[in-house]
This record gives sequence, C-alpha cells and structure tokens, in this order.
Amino acid sequence: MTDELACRRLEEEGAVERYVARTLSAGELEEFESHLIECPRCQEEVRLAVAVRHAVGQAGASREIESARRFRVLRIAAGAGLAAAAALVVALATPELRRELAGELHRAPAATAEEQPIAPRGVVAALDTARWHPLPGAERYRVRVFDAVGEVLWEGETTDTVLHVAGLESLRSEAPYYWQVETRLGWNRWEQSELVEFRLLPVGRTDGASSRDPLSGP
Amino acid sequence: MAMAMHPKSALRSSEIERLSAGIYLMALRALGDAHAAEEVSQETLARMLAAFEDGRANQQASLGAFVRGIARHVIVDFIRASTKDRRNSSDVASTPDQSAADPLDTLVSEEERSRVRYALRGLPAADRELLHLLFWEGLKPREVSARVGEPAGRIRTRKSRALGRLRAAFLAAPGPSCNEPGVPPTYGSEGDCCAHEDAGPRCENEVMSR
Repeated sequence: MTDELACRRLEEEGAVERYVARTLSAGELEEFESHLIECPRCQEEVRLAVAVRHAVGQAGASREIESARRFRVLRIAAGAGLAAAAALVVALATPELRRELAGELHRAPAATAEEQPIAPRGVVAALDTARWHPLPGAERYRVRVFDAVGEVLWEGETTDTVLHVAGLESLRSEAPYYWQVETRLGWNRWEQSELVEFRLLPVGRTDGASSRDPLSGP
Repeated sequence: MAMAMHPKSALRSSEIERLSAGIYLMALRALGDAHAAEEVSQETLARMLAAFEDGRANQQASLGAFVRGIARHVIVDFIRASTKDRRNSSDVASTPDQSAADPLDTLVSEEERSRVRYALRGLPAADRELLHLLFWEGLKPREVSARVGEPAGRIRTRKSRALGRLRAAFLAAPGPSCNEPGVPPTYGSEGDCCAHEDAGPRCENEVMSR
C-alpha cells in the first residue's frame, strides 16, 4: 500500500486523534506507529492533533465553568426555597425540636471530591494560597486557576493540602476567577473537585473579604 | 555467513531525519521526557544501522515496522534502567512525573496552541463538539456517528472541514503584535480586531488572517 493510501485509510479511522487521545488498541497502535515513523505528513498531523486536543480540552473547561455557574444559580434558588421551608418548620416546632433542627441545619457535610476546595471562595483580599480537604488514597494534588473563559492562568502540584500560589499579581480586582483541585488516586486516575469562583477586592479594601482560613475555626 | 542488506539500508540523511523524528515522537509519548526521547531516538538509529551492516535486518517487515520494533526494545531498556536507578536512589525528585500534563504537549509551541485555540472559537458549536468527541474523548468516527446520529461519511466531512480551518491557523506564520483575547479569529478581514478599543499587545486575529 502506498504511503498516501495508508495515510488516507488511517485518517478515515481517526488514527491520529486517537493516538494523541490514547484510545488506539494495541494492534492499531503497532500499525499506526510503524507508519508514523516513516511518514512526515502524519508526524505533522500528530503535532496539529496535539494542539487541537489542547484547545478542545480548554474549551471543555470553559463549558464546565459555565455549567458550574448555572449549577450555582440553581443551588442558590433551591437553597432559598429550603431555607423558607426550614424557617416555617422551626417556627412551628417545640423548643427542643428547634434546637435539634438548628444543629441539623448547621452541621457541615462530609467533604467529597466535588466539595474539596476550602479557600479561596467568594470575595478575598488576595490569592496567596489554595487550601482543600484531603481525599483518602490521594497520591498528589494538582491545582489550576482559570479566568472567566476557561484559560488556565496557573497550575501547581503538591502532596500537601495547601499550595502557595505565586505569580498571579496581574489578576484584576472584582473580575471572576475560578480554581479547582484534582486528586491523583493512581495511574491515570484523577478526581476533579467542583470549580470554585472567587474575586479579588480592590487594593486597599478588606471589608467583606474572607481572608480567614475556614479550617482554623471561629 | 550471508551478509544480506535490507533494501532500505542505503538511507539518505533526509530519510534518517524523518525516522529520527518519528522515533522521537513515539518515545516522547511513551516516556514523557524530551531528553529521554532524544536518547531513545539516537540509540534506535544506531542499532538500526548496526543491524543493516550485520545483515540482521528483517527484510520481510516494512522499514517502519522494523524500526518500531527496535525502538520498542530501546524504550523498554530505558524504562528498566530508570526503574533500577530510582530503586538505588533516595532522590524522590528524580522520579519521572507521570502526573504532568500530556508529554506530547511539548511538541507544540505556546504560540501554535494559542492560534489553534482562537481558531477553534471561530468554529460553529456543533463542530467544536465534534472535535471534542474525536480529539478529547478519542472516539472513532463511526462511534461519533452513532452518538450524534449522523452518517459516518458526514462526520468525516465535517471533521475535515473544521480541521482544515484549524490547520490553516496552526501553519500560519507568526504576525506582528496586537491582541484581542476572547474574540474568535476572522478570516480575510485583516486588521479588523486591531481597531477594537481593547486591543492589547498581540493580535491572534491578525495572525490568523494572513
């Protein structure tokens, strides 16, 4: 088979994009790499596929941010409804039941991968560290900071549950930013947390900013 | 002893370069380390040439399959040696970082990535979704066809058209500076974005329209 015919057939099977996505079977991989080694055209196509994969991955992160925004709106609306119902129940309950209900309503839920991030959240005075809850079986953590369109602005890794964030002095105050922690649980196994939104206060203002570490208690 | 030479043993330097690039790519994907991939490439070529000289080359296999076979052996040797080194060393920092971003990312410059990213934003949403299924999820065209309910032929046509636009962006020569973050590239409207009041120091759109 000529090189051109081989290229065309591999293209029809989506071999290049599956090579960079690592979804080729062992047999397909052997066939594709045997061709790739001799074919400059496919070598260049792999480079293009890497760039496209990177771009669609980032676009996926943007979509996730948009979903997170929508989810947050729904959660706020649902929360408002629940709060109204809870207020009605508390008003009608006996004093003992009121105390029990108050304890139940304020009990913090156990952290899951989704709910790992601790700080920053909401409006903060500065972004100097990121903190999150540990996950059982975690080998290491990767933290990413995104802008509003899903571009990765900063990335760092650690085995701890706190990471110093440096080099993001150019973040604009009051603009929305997002961050996320990914937990590595094994070879190629990552759990993603929710995307958490935060904004920076303008320089010189500290009112309303949650600079306190939420883990340190009241 | 017969000293059979592989039909392709008289390789030109351009062919050696081509093989070297292919081996490097394969090794980079397997090892995730540019320096190691370079070493694997050199060692594989040396073994290949030695096999040609000794008449040990498999004349039944294609050159690509033959070289890939050698490269696989070299990669396995490399992994064994690194594992042994790590066992003998307490230096945790020298352990290859398997959690890093995709090792193939180093094949592409930040500028090339940026051009493709902006070109992607200029594609219809359906085409962006299609590329996501193909390049991110790694589905076969017929699997995408089953998922989106379109004939596989149409999926290939749409992919080819969308990829053509991204390829044009990828291959575009870097242009002068001015920036329009967040705005999809425009084709054939050179300089449009530069008139925007928020235009910054580098313009992806101008690069794209060249």
